[in-house]
Amino acid sequence: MLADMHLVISPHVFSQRLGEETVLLNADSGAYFGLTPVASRAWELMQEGVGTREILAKLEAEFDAPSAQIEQDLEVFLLKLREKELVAF
Amino acid sequence: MPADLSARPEMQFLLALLSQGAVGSGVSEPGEETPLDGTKLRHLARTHGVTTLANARLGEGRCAGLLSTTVRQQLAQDARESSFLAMAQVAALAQIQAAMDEAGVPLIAWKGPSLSAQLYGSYALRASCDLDFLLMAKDVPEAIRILAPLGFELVSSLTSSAAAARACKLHCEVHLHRKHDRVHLELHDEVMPRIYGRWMPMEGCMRRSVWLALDAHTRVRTLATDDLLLSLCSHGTKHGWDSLKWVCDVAGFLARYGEATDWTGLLADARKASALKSLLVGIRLAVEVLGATEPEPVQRCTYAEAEVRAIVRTTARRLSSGDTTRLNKRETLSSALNTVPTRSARAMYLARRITTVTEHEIEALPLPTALYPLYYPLRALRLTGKGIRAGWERLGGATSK
Repeated sequence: MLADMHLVISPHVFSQRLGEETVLLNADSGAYFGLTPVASRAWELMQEGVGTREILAKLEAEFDAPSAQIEQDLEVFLLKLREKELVAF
Repeated sequence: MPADLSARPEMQFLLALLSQGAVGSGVSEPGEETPLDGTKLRHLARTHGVTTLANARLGEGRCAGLLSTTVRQQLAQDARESSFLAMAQVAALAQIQAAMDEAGVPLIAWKGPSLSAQLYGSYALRASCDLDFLLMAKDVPEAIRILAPLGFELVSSLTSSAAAARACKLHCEVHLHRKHDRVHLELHDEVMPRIYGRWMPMEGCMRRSVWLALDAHTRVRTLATDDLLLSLCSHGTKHGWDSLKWVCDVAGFLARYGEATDWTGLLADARKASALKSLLVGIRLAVEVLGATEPEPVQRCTYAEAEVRAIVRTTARRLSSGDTTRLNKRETLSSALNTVPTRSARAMYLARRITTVTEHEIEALPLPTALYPLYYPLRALRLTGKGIRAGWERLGGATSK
């Protein structure tokens, strides 16, 4: 089960919503990352300071997919963000 | 050169898309039966620097039914590419602001992503090929030194910060470039080059400047709103209003700050700064081309009414035609001269233009600072020689005929 964590977006990350997608820029490495609509929504909630459990609950309510799948995808997404030094938790 | 009217339906579509509320008084709603050429539309949007804004308006559902899915996708892709550059610019903006804050050098982010955030609520909605900063003339050499370790190099053969600062004194701007993220910078110590003989002192702009948050981590110093509008109108004038982006900015300003602005005070300040005609042209273009709401005190202002009306009519016609030919030097000069308030001010403008030493002249013959006044007689000699040559060639041409 996904632990309830507070996520801190790195100060060198810049994001821009483009329609349903979001693009992230790691200004330190110059690398861009594209987020899917579900990941974009999760990112938006992170920017509002929402914790992981609440992000999960909102995604489950807003997207038509099995809860277990959303939870797994969110966990993978958060680990990738940390690996790329885009967020800390 | 005659206007290229072949892109007229696409331009009308673009204007309808960007207009505020109802379609502007000078713009007709594009007919549903008009087949729109996607390539022309994208070219127009790119040339006028409004791709991301147009794409955002389409995303809001405006006029969306008139475009094919393919063209919409292509525009979205263009907007995406433009957004990448905007993000790189904002990252650079944050880095520069932090470095200048640390060194105690005050500077103002002007136009570019900060203006986009100020007027449209997002830093990526206004295309900008460079980042512009305003700073005090005395701080230019120090700013160039601070920017060097961040990877910014002077774009000219004026490789020393002192030489660049000297050029800045003449033309009020210095260009720098960083290769790895293609970010181009312009440092200005005045909004308008001195030859225009207008504008309020930079000290005042700096004192009135305000802080603007671009995101949770980035805040930049920007012009106070009154100064911002005067600067936008002066800048539009300098370029003969040949880009729709600048008209959009004025329309965006009116929508965002129109009601909160003390128009009576602003009109008086503009008159003092010899920028009233530019201000009126900018506002009335936004009204005419994009259906912006003209503030009542501006409606009542009859200053140079006939001249302002003529400039607005000609410029609006040109913008609406879909002609993307840039104004040539003579047309830009004529457009700028038209907004100079009096005959004597026009004569001064021309005199300054003739006597101002160019960066090329400094590059061609680098002199120590003490000998700097020599550039003026040298320039006079060069121009005289150029005039004699041109006269000789004309005479030769006439004789051979």
